[in-house]
Amino acid sequence: MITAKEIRYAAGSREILCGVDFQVAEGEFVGLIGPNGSGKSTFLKNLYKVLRPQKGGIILCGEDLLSMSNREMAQHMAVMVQEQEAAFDFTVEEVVMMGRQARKRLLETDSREDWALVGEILDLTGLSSLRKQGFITLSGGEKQRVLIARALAQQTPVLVLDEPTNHLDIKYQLQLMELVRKIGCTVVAAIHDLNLAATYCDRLYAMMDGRIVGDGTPGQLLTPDFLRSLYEVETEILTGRDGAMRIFFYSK
Amino acid sequence: MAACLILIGLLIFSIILGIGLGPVSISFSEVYQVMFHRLSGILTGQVGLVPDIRESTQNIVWFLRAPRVLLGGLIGAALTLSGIGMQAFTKNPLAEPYVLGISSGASFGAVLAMLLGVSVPLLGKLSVSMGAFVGALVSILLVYLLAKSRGSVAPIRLILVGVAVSAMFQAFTNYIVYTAPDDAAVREATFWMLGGLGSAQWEDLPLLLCLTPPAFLLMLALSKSLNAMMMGDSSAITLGVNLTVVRNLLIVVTALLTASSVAVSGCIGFVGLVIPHLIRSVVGPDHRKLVPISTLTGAIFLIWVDVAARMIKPPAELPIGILTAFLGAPLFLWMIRVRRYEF
Repeated sequence: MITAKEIRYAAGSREILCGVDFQVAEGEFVGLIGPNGSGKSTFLKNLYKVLRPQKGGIILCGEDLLSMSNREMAQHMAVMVQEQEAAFDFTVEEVVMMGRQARKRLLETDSREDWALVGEILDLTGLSSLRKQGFITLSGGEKQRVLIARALAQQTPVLVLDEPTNHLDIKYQLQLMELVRKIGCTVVAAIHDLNLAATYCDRLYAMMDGRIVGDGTPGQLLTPDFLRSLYEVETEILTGRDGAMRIFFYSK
Repeated sequence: MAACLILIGLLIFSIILGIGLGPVSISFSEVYQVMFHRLSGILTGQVGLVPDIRESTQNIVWFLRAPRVLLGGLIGAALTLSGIGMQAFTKNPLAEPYVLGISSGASFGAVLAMLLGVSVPLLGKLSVSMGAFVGALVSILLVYLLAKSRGSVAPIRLILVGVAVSAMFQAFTNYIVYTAPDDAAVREATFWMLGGLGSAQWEDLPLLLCLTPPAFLLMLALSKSLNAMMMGDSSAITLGVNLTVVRNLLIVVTALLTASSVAVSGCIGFVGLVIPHLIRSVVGPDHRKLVPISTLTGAIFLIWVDVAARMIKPPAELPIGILTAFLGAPLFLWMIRVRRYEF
């Protein structure tokens, strides 16, 4: 689905990505982990064309991403971005409807089908009661859910989530991850919470200093030794009631 | 859709009523007869007078009021579109041609052209309105370019740069006016700083007629992209917007609309601020509604402000820019104080 080869990106003289290789197969849920400043966000921004790599290439759904128009990209890949700004106060349903734009011709209006889809997605994300509310008036967590709803409205085979569980309380963290899992599209997510990553991801990539330093299933990758080298913390790994890994952290 | 049709009706009604109102009042039916007769005369090639209406009345309608009212409508629409464009570009509801210092660029260009008779290769001697056009264009591009940092324009930078560029042009203009041998320069500079439709002629119309409708269609075509841009750059890109193209189009369109409005009527401030803000508070920020409804409202608004400009102290005329500033500046302050718009 996605193949990134030798991605290099520097901001000024500071090299942030030093040759990142990254691959996601169809239907996979892939997590990207790593300490602050490891380049996770920068890498994702290169993946969704907010930044342009100085070297390397990216193939998305069999096509060259860097020569794709933004519109074509938006038809293949939806992104839940980190920014939560809104210059003017659009309502929740208007923001979610923006997800349909890339499939519209220049002056085409929103169809009955678009509205039905938006209604469905608002139900799915628990936002129905807020649909007429202004986006600006929402809490950080509610905004986050609106942005995931907007990404879902794009109905793309690939979903990229840039720190999706920021601002969310524990209930919505789990709900969001369950939801994304259930939809069953190909997912790439930068995740801080290792327990969430371990529970929901099929495979993980670990980044440090602009490089991929390890990949594998959560069980293979997340060992106390590896986590010590990645985050400089001590860990204890147990198995939860649901059979998933639980990681406990201790400072060194 | 329904709102637009009502506004189009109101616009036509305002045009006819606006032509009738003034120090010499002319009845609705006389205006209608003269306008209908002249317009159909243009189509059939037979220009003449309506038999039973005084010739002087007919001349006032056709040569003084009609071009003035139509020009007012076009400029109202152009300034509103330009305001919406700048607000979308800066993601800030306070951006507006006047606030960004275009007026001082225009008056500088006009005064320079008039007093020094500056010649330009290819164009020959610059006319005064051409000078205003170039001055406005130079100042708006200067503001955009100087405010740009690392590929993007922060609203606060844009406004501060606008203040500085404005002060610089103002200083030039003041110097020229102060050292000018006669009063003509003072009058000329004042006209361009305050704006006015009193000198409107049919010849003033084509420039705006060629620019405003295409600009309107372009803004309408961009409206979905503009919506996405309000959610931030990353959002816009991932929703499929080509930011560079849309931003460049916005700069070109706003610069052209503003400069040509200024070239024919001087600086009429705050229209591009008041109208979009008012309409946004009624229909919301969706540009698909905002663009058509604001543009029509802007046209109607300026026609009526111009009526007020010639009715308040007849037979003298107030510069229209004074009235729009009277209405717009308090709203600007209210937006900052009460609505607490963030920079």
